[in-house]
Amino acid sequence: MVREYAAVVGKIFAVLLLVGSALLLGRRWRLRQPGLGLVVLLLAFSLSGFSLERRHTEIVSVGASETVDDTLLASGNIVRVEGVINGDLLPFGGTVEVRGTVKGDLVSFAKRIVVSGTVEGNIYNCSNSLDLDGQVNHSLYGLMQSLRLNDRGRVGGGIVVGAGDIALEGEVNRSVNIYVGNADVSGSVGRALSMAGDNLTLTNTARVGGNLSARVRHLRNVHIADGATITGTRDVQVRVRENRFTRPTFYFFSAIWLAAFLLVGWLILLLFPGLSRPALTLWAPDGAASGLGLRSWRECRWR
Amino acid sequence: MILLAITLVGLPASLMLLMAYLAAIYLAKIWVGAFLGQILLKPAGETTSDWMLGLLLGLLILTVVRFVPYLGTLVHFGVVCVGLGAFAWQLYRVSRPAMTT
Repeated sequence: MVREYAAVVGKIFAVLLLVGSALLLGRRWRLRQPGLGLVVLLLAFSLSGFSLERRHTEIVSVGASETVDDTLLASGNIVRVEGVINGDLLPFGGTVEVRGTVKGDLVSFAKRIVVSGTVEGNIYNCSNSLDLDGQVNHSLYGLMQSLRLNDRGRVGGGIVVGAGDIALEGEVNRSVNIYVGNADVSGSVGRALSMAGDNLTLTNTARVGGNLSARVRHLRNVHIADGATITGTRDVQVRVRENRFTRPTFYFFSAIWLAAFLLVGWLILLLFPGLSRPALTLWAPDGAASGLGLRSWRECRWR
Repeated sequence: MILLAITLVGLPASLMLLMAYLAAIYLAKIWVGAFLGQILLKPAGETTSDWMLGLLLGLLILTVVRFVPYLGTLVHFGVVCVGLGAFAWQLYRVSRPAMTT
């Protein structure tokens, strides 16, 4: 659903840009009233036609008997959804609890997210922790410090996640691709399990329906219990950090980089001779150049 | 730049400033490389080939130094600072010729 919105919003902005460009090119009609220009701008950004409902309070709550027919944009310290959201849910806050049903996608930025209800679309998540105790009909994508798919949790699609710690105790219907520090798998993965990171543990109850692929720093960091079921092949490899100086591509791209600098330098010399040649004789009087450079760095950071 | 961006009206100006700043950081290396090359080669004239040869030598030195662990990062930081300052100084002088003579 988010993609559909993005497509429609993109089209509207494209039309606005085209119309605006045509008006400016014609130069026969101008927005003489500044207020009219502001109204046009506000209309462009209001997106009322997309039925976006916004709620912003300390605690945003959608009660168990409540149904939100639109996409809900909720921001607050606590966002709690116990009812039904017929569109997407876009929560931003400290703690997000989804106990009800979200018919669309869940796109969240929060410190802690707990999903014990149902998300019928995808979950796109960027948070400190995500506890999934309910059901996701499609897939889970995100970056987080900690992901926990509890034994009652179920993901209908796949998982593509980068995280510090991942515990998969529940069921994932499709493949799992994780970039992780520590991964503990004791649940079920319908297809392939692919991981890159530090530690991987598959317990006796773990089940992988496809291939297992792991890229780790040390083989001793992979623990696969005897009772774990892996239907496909096992491919566990140790990642070796290759010295970049031994690769020909390194020298190739360095040469291209150098040639690009030379080309730019030559262009500067051609286009701005006054800027380049005297610079070599007037350069850095009394260390002023380094002082100015440091000042520009500092001011850019402050602003 | 951030303040400009927050005002929404200043967002385009902020983006342009950011682009100019990134371009200046890129150009800083060329500035320092050319200066370094000129110091080392000490060309008699100021022909284009002299300038380019100096630039090549300076950039080669900077590129090699850049790959030295720890030292390379420090040198790169110094190059950017000095180059940015020289660029700003020269822009100032070129834009106000009457004041500099």
